[in-house]
Amino acid sequence: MSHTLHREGSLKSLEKDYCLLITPYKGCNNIQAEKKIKKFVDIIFDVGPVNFRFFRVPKEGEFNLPVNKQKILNYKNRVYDNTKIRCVFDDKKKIKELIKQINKTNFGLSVTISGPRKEIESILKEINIRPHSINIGMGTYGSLEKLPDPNFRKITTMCGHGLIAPGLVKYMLIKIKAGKISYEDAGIELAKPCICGVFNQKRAEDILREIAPLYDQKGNRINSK
Amino acid sequence: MRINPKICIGCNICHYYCPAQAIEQKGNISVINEDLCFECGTCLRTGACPVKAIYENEEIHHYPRIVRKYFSDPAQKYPGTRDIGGRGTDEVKTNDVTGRYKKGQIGIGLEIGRPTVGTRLYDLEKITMGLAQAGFDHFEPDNPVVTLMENPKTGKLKNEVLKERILSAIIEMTIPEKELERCLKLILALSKKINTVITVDLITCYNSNYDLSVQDIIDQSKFKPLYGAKINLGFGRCTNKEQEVGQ
Repeated sequence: MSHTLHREGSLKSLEKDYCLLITPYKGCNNIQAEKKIKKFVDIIFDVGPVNFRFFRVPKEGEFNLPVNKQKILNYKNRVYDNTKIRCVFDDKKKIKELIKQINKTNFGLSVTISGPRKEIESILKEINIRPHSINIGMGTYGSLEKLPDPNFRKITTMCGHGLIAPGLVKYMLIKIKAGKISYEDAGIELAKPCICGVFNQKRAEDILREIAPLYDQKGNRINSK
Repeated sequence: MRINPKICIGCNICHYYCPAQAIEQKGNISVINEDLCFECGTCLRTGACPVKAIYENEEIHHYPRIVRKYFSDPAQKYPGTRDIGGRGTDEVKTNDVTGRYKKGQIGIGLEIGRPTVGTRLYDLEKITMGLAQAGFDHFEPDNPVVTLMENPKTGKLKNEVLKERILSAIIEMTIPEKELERCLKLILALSKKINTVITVDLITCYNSNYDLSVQDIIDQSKFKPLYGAKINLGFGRCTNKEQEVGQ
């Protein structure tokens, strides 16, 4: 499931949005993966993610934002051999450092990075890593008139499972305009439906700041004419 | 999903959280339109209701209604497929160890209903049948869509699921590289026959010099790839035997 692919927005905005996925595969490299996953958690938190979630642990759906390192480290005792890691970074330098650190471990677990293709490929060339394969987001087709507001999609497409309703972006704009929520807290609220930890709430906050002037108190688009 | 009318205070906050836009105001309270509901569980899971009036009713778990939940709630594991949680396989995520897509092969993922538009399964069937008729019938057996099919060779779905409404479903298949151009043209033609949207993935292996052997075909097609991609770094290897020897 390509839940970290197909994020919409400008290249400038997407350059602050990288997802890292570490995935043991049952019957191939899952034996003793628990120790490796725990080590990866330490590496990831040394670098500093903006979002993080274990997949396949008891109570995996618990909401963790804002990311609290100690809380995540407390979760480590729930990790087992088939636990997967999903996390997000907002900085190209951080993702480069992380790839270098993970490469050094030579643990043999599959690692994928989602983000702007050219940026990732340039990082890999710089550190001489030859990638195996790529999943390219080829775009959306069909009854395009049914798509939600493109500004809302910049936020909602950060949950590839489609759980963030466009209406929730509108609701956050209404609350922001009424002074009932901060941009930061609105970003976190928008992350709540995403159970995978791949939503970038910092980027959502930035997008809300950028688009807010375009909408009225009821969250409707102001006619640009 | 349902809302208990005795508890609901009619604040309408839950309406904003529903990806299906299935919650409506009736009189002084909110009700869920069960025909529109995806059964994704977002309204309940996010705690959108300040008085906890939302609940999951037992009927959700009966077939064919349960199909909605399988294809809309990523927390719901799909039975009958290998270790799948969510709507598809690990596709490129573990391709360095599974070899699901080898050199000379292309993985195609067609996600019907994404992003957040949703789909009835009869629209999905239009695509699976159109692909099968054109000879693209190598549907991924570990993808839940195949379990909905009456016959994977024709792409026909079981009649009882056709009207179910889901957030999205991914048709995953493998094609020979030489068929890519024909396949892309067909996908665009089929996308015009449905009352929803399709989001398209293309998976391929890198050449040794960081380029892709199908890049020209992609560039010359009518597709407009996004900036984003998901790249498998090639760090995976099968270590279970090493571990067993070491124990």
